[in-house]
Amino acid sequence: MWRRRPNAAAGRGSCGPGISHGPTGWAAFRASLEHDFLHAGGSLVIGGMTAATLNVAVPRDLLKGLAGLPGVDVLALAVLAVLLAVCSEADAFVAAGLTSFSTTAKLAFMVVGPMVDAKLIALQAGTFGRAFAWRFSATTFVVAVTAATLTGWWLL
Amino acid sequence: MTREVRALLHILLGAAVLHISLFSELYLRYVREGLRPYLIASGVLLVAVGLVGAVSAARKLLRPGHDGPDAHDGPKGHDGHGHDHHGAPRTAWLLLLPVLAIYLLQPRALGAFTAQHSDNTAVRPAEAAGGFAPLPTTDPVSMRLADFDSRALWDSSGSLKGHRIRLTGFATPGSGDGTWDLARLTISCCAADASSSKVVIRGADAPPEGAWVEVTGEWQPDGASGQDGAVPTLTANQIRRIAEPENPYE
Repeated sequence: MWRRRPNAAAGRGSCGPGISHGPTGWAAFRASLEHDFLHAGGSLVIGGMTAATLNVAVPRDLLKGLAGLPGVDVLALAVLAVLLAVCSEADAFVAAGLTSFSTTAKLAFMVVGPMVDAKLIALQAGTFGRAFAWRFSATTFVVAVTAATLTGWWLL
Repeated sequence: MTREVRALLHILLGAAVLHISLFSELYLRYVREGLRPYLIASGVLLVAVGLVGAVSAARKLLRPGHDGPDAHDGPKGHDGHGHDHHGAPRTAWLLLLPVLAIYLLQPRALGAFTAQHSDNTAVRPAEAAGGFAPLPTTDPVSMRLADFDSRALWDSSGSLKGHRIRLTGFATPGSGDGTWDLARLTISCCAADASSSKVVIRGADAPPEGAWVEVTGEWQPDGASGQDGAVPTLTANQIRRIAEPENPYE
């Protein structure tokens, strides 16, 4: 995908504080710590605020209405996983609470969650640029949903 | 963002993290107990990075002739792809928001609003687990709301029958007119994944919304067992107002 459209691929290649002329040793360690923290931190705040807002704003009743529709329920929970940005340590508990959904939909929730979510997209956009983030997230989302659907159809 | 501001931002954020994790128990409102050492470690690291940055900034100021190329922010986009390697992106200013939130707002733990707007989550035990263990013989039996819900809905042997149960939680408006629920939230990692456990309380007037109470009473089997999302019922004999526990989550 990136080979076909190389102009966007370059993104922002050489991150890191002044490799050619920068400090060395502990000073370099401290400088890159600061650099990484400031670059990731701001994006993380954006992602966190987005996820928190959506967590309150997304009406759960609307979701329940989608639970009975095969196919749509998988997509609904996959999108919910992106919006809520629940960490992978906890998403199984959240999925267990979504009782009205099919097992395949819950699987999609748990597969998509750690791969694509609001805070990851914000982080990627901040680090690699927006063009990269959209293309990468969209691809990962499609792959994750397909994998979950196929596994669910085959095994569950 | 100058190097002085960057240093200050690190120190402020580190201090805020230490404020909620090392010097108080406020972190329990936001994350689970086990994450405390990590919070303290990152707080200490942030303060250390900030202090070292401040010291080196001060040194640079005292020797103005020796400004290196990274002593000040370069112009935006100087390296051809709009990315300033020596300063920080403008989004870094957003890191002040958590600092302000912690010192000025001190957000409370999730409570009645969250519980009221979410479904009851009662864990259905796996078949292989071999049913529920017998309840302790104390009277009354103190239980987590989550355990009570799970037994009330999924224990076919009815182990709750004949026991006086004591539950601790906060008052939440119920789904019916004039009813109220006792609720408690469970977090497995942080407040973002909170799930709620609710019990309908009968035989007692509703305390103010969000008030913490200890309810002692008996389970009211009402045919709601075996249903996902159902809320079991407790008939209260005694209700006592209590202070919010140190850890508001179960």
